[in-house]
Amino acid sequence: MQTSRLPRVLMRLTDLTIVLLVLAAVLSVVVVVVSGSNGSDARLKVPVEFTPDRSTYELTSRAWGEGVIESAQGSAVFENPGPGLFVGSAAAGIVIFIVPAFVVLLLLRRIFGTMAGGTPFVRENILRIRWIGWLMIIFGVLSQVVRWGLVLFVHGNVAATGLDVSLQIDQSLVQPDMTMVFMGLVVLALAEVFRHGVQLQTDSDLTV
Amino acid sequence: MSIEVSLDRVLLERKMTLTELAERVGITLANLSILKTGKARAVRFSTLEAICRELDCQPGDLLRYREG
Repeated sequence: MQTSRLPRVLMRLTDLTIVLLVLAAVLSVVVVVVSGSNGSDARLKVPVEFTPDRSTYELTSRAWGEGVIESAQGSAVFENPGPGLFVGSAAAGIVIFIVPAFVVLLLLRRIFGTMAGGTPFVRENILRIRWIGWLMIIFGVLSQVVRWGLVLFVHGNVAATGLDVSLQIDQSLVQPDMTMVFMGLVVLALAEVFRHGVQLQTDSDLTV
Repeated sequence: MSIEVSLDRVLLERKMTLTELAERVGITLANLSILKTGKARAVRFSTLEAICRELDCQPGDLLRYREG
């Protein structure tokens, strides 16, 4: 059977992406090490929403009389948050994003390899596609948990006297992003279709 | 599988090798081996017809149903 050139092109693209991903991982480690050795002059800026203590201000209007500030927005800046936060976020980034992405790319490369060889309908590819689907679902759930954890962590660590401070939560951080989970389910469905394809291929191969 | 293939017996009776039959029928030796060893999932009528023609036999001489 004549094979298309596309799988080979995709293999090369996957190779390139793997190299870029490894570079990104190395770069993030280097940034963490360098910022740690420099005493970490990086600042942490947390968006906050607060209600000022009424005894600390006076709000009046000639037209409308006295008023209160119910809600004000601003940023809390921490000059020296310590290296722990950056090391932690870099490690979490590597474990949650780079490692699964690396595994998915390796699996994709092998799938493209079988396509380039003209034999995509093999049992190994069913498992590879299933792994990709599950990794996408796990990544989708885990990244959401980490984002919520981050919001709770910062929220629990910001306290100010005289102000009723609450973290101004970015909606994109709080609202569950199910895109990856849905995509993972679609990939799992494709794995089942592929399983059927493998069965048909076996039937065809064993027909004389 | 409960369909038994007796190709090796018929080949022995006709004093013909598997390679020779493969050449005469026009299918690969690998495919004919699949049939001989009982690994085949399906047989095309055209293949069966060619084998019966070359071995001068009936399909029933090659294939037999066995209980269980």
